[in-house]
Amino acid sequence: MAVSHPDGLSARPWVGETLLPRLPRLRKSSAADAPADHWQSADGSRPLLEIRGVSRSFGHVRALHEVDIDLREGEILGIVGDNGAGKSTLMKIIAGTVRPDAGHLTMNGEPVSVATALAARRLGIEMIYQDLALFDNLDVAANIFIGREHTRWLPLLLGFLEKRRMHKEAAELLKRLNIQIGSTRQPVGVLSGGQRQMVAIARAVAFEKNVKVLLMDEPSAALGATESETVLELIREIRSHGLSIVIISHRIPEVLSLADRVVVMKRGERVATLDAGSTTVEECVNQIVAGEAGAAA
Amino acid sequence: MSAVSSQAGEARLSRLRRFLLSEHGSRATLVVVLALEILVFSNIARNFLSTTNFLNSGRTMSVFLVVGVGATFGLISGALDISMGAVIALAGTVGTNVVVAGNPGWLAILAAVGSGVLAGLVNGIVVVKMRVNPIVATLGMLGIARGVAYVMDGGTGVIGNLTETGDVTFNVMQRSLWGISYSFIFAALFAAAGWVLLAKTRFGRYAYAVGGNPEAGRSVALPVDRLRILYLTLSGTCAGVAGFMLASQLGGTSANIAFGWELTIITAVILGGVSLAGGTGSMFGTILGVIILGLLENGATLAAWHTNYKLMVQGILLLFAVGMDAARTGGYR
Ligand SMILES: Nc1ncnc2c1ncn2[C@@H]1O[C@H](COP(=O)(O)OP(=O)(O)OP(=O)(O)O)[C@@H](O)[C@H]1O
Ligand SMILES: [Mg+2]
Repeated sequence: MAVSHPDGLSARPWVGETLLPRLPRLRKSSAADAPADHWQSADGSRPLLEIRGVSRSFGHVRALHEVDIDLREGEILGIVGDNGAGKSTLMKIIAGTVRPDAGHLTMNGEPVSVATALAARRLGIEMIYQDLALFDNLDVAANIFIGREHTRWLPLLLGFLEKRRMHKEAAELLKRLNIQIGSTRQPVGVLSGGQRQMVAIARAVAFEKNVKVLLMDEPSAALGATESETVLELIREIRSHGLSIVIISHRIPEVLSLADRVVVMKRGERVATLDAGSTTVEECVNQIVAGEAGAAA
Repeated sequence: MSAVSSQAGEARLSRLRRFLLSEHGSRATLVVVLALEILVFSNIARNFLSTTNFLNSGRTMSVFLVVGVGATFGLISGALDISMGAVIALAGTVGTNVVVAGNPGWLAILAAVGSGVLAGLVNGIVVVKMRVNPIVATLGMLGIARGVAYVMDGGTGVIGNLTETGDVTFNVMQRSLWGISYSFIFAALFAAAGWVLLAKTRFGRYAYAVGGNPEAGRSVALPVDRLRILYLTLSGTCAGVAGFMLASQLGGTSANIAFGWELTIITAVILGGVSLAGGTGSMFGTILGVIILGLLENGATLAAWHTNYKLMVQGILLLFAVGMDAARTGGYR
């Protein structure tokens, strides 16, 4: 079809990059003291993203405990587990919005720091939050372009918004993604739950060219059957452009049909990593219910 | 049959309610309030409907308008700044003192505005770094700014009137162009710039974003904290500019001016449709709100009302404004 052009919208710098001088960070990157890693995949290449020994507690709640996970180039990795298993916390750490107490991250074998959301974005890590992180008081186009507005005349914060252009591009994006929303001028607050979810997805993939890793925290949770199917289609389509995707979901059949591998989390630990092609819903459920961290594959 | 018609009546009522709460409806309501106000005062205050009076009230109103611009940014970004009146007094007193000490007028203007910038910056830093609620942080600043103003003023509350011997540059706001005061012209330009900044630029859009959902702002990598500091700094800056204007108009101010003005300004801004919870509002609404409150101030003076009555009407307007806001946003739960 004529509308399909996988590049997404033209690349825009993130506003925070150029906005103001950055304040010095007191916290040192924990990636600097990363130990040598000996993980090798079957074909000898290292995974795109390696998460090693990540722990995080909230008060006395141990949300994550020494989690190791790999994300391979171009794969879809499913993450399943009970409520409170630590799935969202893990994703937020990768996206730079939660700081880990311990652990580190490497990307293409290089230690990287995701101390801030901005740092994660610069690495090409984009996230769709479980709570969607939308601005109900702003319209659809403003939500899609937030932080990356098209502007002219003046630099930085004083840039004049090119509203018409952003509405046009947002409408094109929604059309390309097959998302049914009447007008990009509606405030997001008046949209249905499913439409809001779609806006969040559209925002995450809008600047696809810059994205290497897409983290989706229950992207189909609020959706009806038809909309779910649309999202699944969309995820496959995005993957075909070479992105690596992590998807959290409670719908296990959905995860198995979509993902290449499935990680099972329980009480903040990874209890199993299953091959989606050869495992079954029963085995997944069994691991979620009865899995033990020590026995992790 | 009667049930049917009462149902239709109810439907009509809820449609009316929805209209009144919509953006256009709220504006229409404001225009009606303004018309009523003019009607009432033109009947009870003899000189209310005169050119001289409008030009006169324009002078006070222009000071309100300049602070209102700052308060609009602050409140939309989610920060209720109640230090504005005190910062006006601080800036006015600083400017006056600098002139009295024999410095050039431009330096005094710079010092006045600068003290507002500083107060706003401190407000912002306290809110962001110490995670203090803006109302409480600016309440602290209210005390500090007023206190410093009194100290500079020698504690007497009176600095010599500079009108006769005053600095020409510093007293620029006493001049007028074709009968229109510089104050008024300046405030109109200031509000226009504020409107452009709020409605047309990134800076304005992020005020709505940060006020609407700061958590989401962090998730999408907006520099939420730094933006908050900027909006509060702007709020203080506007108060600083207003303080200079007032001192300039009066040819020098004492530390006790603009007492309680924060109430007037907040009422004007909320009446204009800025939500107490942040995230909504417009500069146009603020302008309307300022005119309504400014005319109240003026009309009450002309009608020789006791201040108490003016305060009561102001309070009623505030409740009305907050009530509208609550009906729009779902209110206090
Ligand atoms: N900001 C926070 N403050 C305090 N506790 C938190 C915070 N975030 C997460 N937790 C706790 O950490 C644990 C893991 O939470 P997390 O949201 O990661 O779970 P989840 O696997 O995503 O669950 P769900 O399937 O319900 O979304 C929970 O016990 C939760 O209460
Ligand atoms: Mg979760």
